[in-house]
Amino acid sequence: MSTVEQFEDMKTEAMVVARTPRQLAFARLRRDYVALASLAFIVLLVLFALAGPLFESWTGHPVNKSNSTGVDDYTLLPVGPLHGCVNGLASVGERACFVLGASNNLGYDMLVQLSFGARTSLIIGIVATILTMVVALLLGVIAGYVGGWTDTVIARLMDIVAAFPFLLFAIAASVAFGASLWFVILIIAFFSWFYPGRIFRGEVLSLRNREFVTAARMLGASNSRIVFRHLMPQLIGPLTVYASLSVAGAIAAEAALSYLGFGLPLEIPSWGRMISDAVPGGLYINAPFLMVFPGTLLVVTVLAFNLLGDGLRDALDPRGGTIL
Amino acid sequence: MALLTVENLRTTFRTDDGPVGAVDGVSLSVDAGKVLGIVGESGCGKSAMSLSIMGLLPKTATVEGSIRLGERELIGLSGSELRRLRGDDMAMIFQDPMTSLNPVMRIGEQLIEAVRLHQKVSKVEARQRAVAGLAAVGIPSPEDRMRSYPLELSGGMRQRVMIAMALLNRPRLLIADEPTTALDVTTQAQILELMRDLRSEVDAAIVLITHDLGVVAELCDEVAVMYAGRIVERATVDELFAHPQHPYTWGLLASLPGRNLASERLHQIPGTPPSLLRPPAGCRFAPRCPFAMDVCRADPAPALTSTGRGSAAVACHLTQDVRDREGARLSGEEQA
Repeated sequence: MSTVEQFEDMKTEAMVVARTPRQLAFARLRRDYVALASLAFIVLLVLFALAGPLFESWTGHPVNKSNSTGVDDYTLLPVGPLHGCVNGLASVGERACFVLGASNNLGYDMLVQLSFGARTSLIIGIVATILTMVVALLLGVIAGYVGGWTDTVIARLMDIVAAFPFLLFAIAASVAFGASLWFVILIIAFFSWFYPGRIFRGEVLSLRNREFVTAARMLGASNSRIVFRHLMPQLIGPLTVYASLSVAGAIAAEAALSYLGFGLPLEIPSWGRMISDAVPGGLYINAPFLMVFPGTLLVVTVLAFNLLGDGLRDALDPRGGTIL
Repeated sequence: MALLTVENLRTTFRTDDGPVGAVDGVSLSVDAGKVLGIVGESGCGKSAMSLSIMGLLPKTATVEGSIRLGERELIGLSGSELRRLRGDDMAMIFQDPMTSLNPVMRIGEQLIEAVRLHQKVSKVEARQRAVAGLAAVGIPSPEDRMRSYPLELSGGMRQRVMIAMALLNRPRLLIADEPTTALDVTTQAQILELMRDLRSEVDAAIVLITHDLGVVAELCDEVAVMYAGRIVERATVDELFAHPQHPYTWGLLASLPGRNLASERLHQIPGTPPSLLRPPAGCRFAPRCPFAMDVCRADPAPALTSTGRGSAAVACHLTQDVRDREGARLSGEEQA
């Protein structure tokens, strides 16, 4: 065992520190300023959404509550930012003071509606993504691991769902079943799972024939053990990436449905409907902020989730190189 | 009493072009504490045979014949029965240690999993056994290595981990499928030394699959030479090197780099092993055999027949005299 002693000696000297794939990914992510900025924006957005009740009490304008002071008496247009705030922000809390203006011709408070709209967007984005990922994992992993007929059936199912026209089907279903929060979440998840599902199927297909899977079977591991202990953990990378992209997609899809009037019921604030509120009678021509505020927030939010997804993909890419 | 008895094993793969008989009527046996070497070129059915024994072949393969581990018949066992045996009573070391460890699990987790799959022991106990297993295969500071990921270890170290993993539950049968092929030469020597040390300690029947007769000479008690899915020659190691009987064995022996042949080109056996989709009609080695006679091309090779020296047997049309003469010439050259 002389070699062992030699190794023991070497160990006490400085050794090259090998880093795990996870550490490398974090190191790469730390250098990706775009992804970090996106992450920072998302954190701020979550805080903004959580602060909804604070904005309500701060401005004195409850959510979904019409205010006669929010509509200009002469033009009948929603009031603009800081309208009625005679002393600037010091007058916030007075009924006439609207920090970001009113959001529609009923005089809803823009700031409060945006905050509660963020809440809606995040809930829909996250819940729809969880559902999407659960279905995608389940079907993708089963198809990839079991193979044969099971795989053929699931793969064809993915093709069929991919061929459905989303908006057409969603609008028809909305008319048939009536729109609700769960309806919007389910319809978005139904049209999203096939894409990550295909990715997971492909990953499992290539992983299941790798030698370490045979080695695990050699040790007497069962199929479920191989799937849960050996294959699933390797999907964490693509799962993270596609979850992030899926949140962006779900938020955009909800906004689109609500804009068209087939999304959420009226009592749930939504950025998409705020944008559509600016359309009737050409309101947006005289009060462009009606569209600019929710529109900008929507675009930046979708962009942030997409950029975060891209950043995660680059960080988790094993070909991404080493950072010293 | 043989620990592993294989009788008339036939492994056939269904392919789009028709059935491929990767293993075609192989019989062999190994005693506890002994090492049987299986030699042959790539594509001779060595790996298909070992995977058949372990029950690890995909559904496209059918395995017929008899494989007995001790008294127990393995063919026809259900998936869960086989699973209980694998990793416990029988284990396998794979060729490429780079790919046969899960890249995203720590070494320790994988070893502990291997123990706990078969033994109802606490995590602490399983961990102690894993550390002891790593120490037994000469891995320095095993406690630290338990926390390592496979990519942090060199190929030799990973193969040691694989060997430790295979031996954790003290298997009665160990199959090593070219355990040194993927390693560089100095590491190969270390792993061979380790296996020689472990041989006496584990008291398992070992089947060592290799294409390297040098490895066979180092480690094995008996050798079976495989060609195109069949065993063409079987003997003890000493007997095989002293009286090689089959022209294919001569070819393998002649292609070993000798000490005094540095300036010469290495010998090679012309051609490649035949397609098992449509094997040749006569002796399967006849198309590449410099001694092939008309009968070799017309009639299949005879069954393994004793050479009269101990347990040695060969499947060849050549007469005993010719085989002895040519074999003696070859091993004489080797020693010269």
